[in-house]
Amino acid sequence: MAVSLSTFNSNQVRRFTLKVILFLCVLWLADFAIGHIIDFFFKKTLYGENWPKENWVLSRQYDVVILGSSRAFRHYVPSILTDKISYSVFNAGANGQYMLYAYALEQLILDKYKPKIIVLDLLPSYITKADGVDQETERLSSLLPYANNREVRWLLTRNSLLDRLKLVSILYRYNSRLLNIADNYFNSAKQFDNGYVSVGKTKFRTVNQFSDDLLHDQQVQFDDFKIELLKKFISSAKARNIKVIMSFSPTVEPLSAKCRQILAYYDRLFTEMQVPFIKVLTEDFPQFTNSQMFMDYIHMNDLGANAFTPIFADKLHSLLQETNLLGNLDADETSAPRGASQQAHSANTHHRNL
Amino acid sequence: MLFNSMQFVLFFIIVVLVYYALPHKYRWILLIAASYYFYMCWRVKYILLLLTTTLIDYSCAFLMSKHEDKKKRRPFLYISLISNFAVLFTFKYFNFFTDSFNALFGLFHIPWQIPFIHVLLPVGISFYTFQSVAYVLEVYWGRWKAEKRINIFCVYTSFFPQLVAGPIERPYHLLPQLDEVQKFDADRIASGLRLMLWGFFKKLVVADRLALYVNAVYNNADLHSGFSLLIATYFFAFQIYCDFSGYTDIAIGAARVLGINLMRNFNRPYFSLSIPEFWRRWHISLSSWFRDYVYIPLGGNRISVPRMYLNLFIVFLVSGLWHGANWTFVIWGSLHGMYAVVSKLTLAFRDRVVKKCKIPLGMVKSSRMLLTFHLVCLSWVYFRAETFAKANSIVAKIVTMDGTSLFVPAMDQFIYGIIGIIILLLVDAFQENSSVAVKLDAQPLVIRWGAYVAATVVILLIGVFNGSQFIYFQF
Repeated sequence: MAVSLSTFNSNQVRRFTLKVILFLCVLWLADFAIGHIIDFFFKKTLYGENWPKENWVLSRQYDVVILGSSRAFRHYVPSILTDKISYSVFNAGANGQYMLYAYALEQLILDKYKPKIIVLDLLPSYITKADGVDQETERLSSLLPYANNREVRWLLTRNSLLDRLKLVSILYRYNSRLLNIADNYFNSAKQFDNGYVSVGKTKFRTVNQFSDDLLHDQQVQFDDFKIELLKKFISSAKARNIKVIMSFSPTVEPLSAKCRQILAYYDRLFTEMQVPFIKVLTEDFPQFTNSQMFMDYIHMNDLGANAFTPIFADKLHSLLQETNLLGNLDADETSAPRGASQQAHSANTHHRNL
Repeated sequence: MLFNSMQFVLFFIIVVLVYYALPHKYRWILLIAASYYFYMCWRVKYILLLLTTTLIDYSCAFLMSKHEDKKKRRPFLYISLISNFAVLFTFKYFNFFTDSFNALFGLFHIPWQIPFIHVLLPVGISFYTFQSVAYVLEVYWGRWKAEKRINIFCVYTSFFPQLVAGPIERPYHLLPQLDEVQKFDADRIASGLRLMLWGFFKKLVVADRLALYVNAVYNNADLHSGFSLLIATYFFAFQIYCDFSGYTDIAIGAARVLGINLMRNFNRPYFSLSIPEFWRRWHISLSSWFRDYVYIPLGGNRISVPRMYLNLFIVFLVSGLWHGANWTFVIWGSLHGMYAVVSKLTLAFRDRVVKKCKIPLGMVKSSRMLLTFHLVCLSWVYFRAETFAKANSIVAKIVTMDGTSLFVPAMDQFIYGIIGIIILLLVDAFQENSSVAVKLDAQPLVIRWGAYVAATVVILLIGVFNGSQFIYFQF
């Protein structure tokens, strides 16, 4: 049998290796060039169908940013809050996103500017382990275009070091977004109220895959990683002198024992970390037992949001007054210039009137 | 370790580098180590099954080679076949038959219940079992000499590119190549990498994209209209084709990089003009396995016509069961068996009608192609549906066009899927009369590289990177 040990020194191998390296360079160049062209258009897409909310909230300066899941998205009407506390407010709640996304988006915002207040609408699943496959990291792919941010990159690649290799490609960050970007770029007519999109009086549906967390009793399994992330979420805002407020919005049915157990945990944690926690629970506000205010067990429709937001606004206003935060914030010299906030507010008010 | 994962890319680069750095006489060590590691990435302990199959078949074939007389060889053949099929039956079919028998007992009010066994199906068990059985049968018939070197036989049963989903190799095709000194050949490596790229395109851009729609519709079939189910069925036809042929292209490409030529497994099956032709183009390594080791030993075409048709039907029935332990696969196999028998029975009549009516050839071809495609699509409903009853209800909804609204969860995702199908059909149509590889090789470097870069860009932009399994891994 012949021995092929010498093949690695042959000219053919050397030529081939050179060709491979050259090809990889060409590929990288193509990736870089096309990737940056797409990136240019992506950054310009601020609204449209499935518009990237992140672009909007990062390209303006808001006094108050509300973060959270679809419950945050559906429950907080920014214009009502603005009328009450006279701050520009953006609802950055996102469907199917929980603690990882909230933390990542907070970090992106803090990289760009300093809001006065950050509100996080909570769910029990923010600090518990998923029943089946944890899809939270996978869902973070919506933040791939922002992977240059250190914390976002860490969250995206924490499960596998090999995922870092994927991020070498700029095109990969815009995977499955091309038509969406084009659509958003050319078709910008979207009516929204600073992040809140009205669903009207959508009728109540009994089906909701997320209801288990809130309404059904299951064994609670706390997720240490997510708890640490929640703590980091609070501390990184506090370190920049930003007020963090936690919130819990109503459900149509009474909460499960599991949910109460998690709420009790939240209470302890936030007392310890000196973070205000605004709870608007159905047991204290029986009007929310009316299913006409809900799209399903845990998501309110427009009717519910317009009933809930004033209550939350009152509580927020009282809290800011009680703790003398309104005055402090107004006097805070390190916060974003008032002009910038007003600019964001007026720009969005204009957009709302489209 | 899935082909469509970063782990595999890294693993493959390391294997290729070490492979060409090693002298030929030591390469078997690398191939065995890499193949066993590749297999153990799924479930470590199932490597014992692969080892057992390898050892038994090696020993049986070796002992058979000691005897000239077939009668003396027969006990070793039986030992090998029984052990192979016992393992396959236990892990793949035991619970299926248990469930069926328990249902039967219940029907006749017999108070017996056979307990189920709780085991996971070892990945690729049907593939490597059939490959090993092919070797034993070839040795038994005296058509191939038993391999004396167990290390080479280990590579034959476990060669990682084709270990978990084929192509199901034959000893006379793969074993001699393992002896050949594979010199570094840049053109061959480039050709292998190009095939892998095309395989990735099929899997990531077409199969996994269409899977999102197909799963959304088929998993809630009751909620969807007949039109949505029809579109989902068309999509599934392309999904399964691209999923399996994409896997095969990556496997053949990876083996080619290592200097090994694996047998062809797909030949643009949806351009078939009849069901028998479809089976000469679809999963060729399995259909030819059934032809060589079941159909021909049963008598082939040398027996009475009714018996031949019965055998043909049986082969398809068994082929259906090979795919999965579920009645839906049995029905799928039976449908194809029925199609094949009817196709053969009516061939002469159909040709006479065409001649008599002077129907233009182009029209005949296109109508036959369309009919074959739709017959295959009908069978895919049974292949994809979870139960026989669900499949029937889907077929009923499609046939009666129960609802004409089209479910489109996200228009852009839908369009990506259609773009993928169009590119696939264009390439396949071109390949029918020509060869993309040959055409590309004749082009200047700029155009060749432009094509590779374009394919990579499309994969990165519209491929689905959720690391989904290949459908055929479950078989």
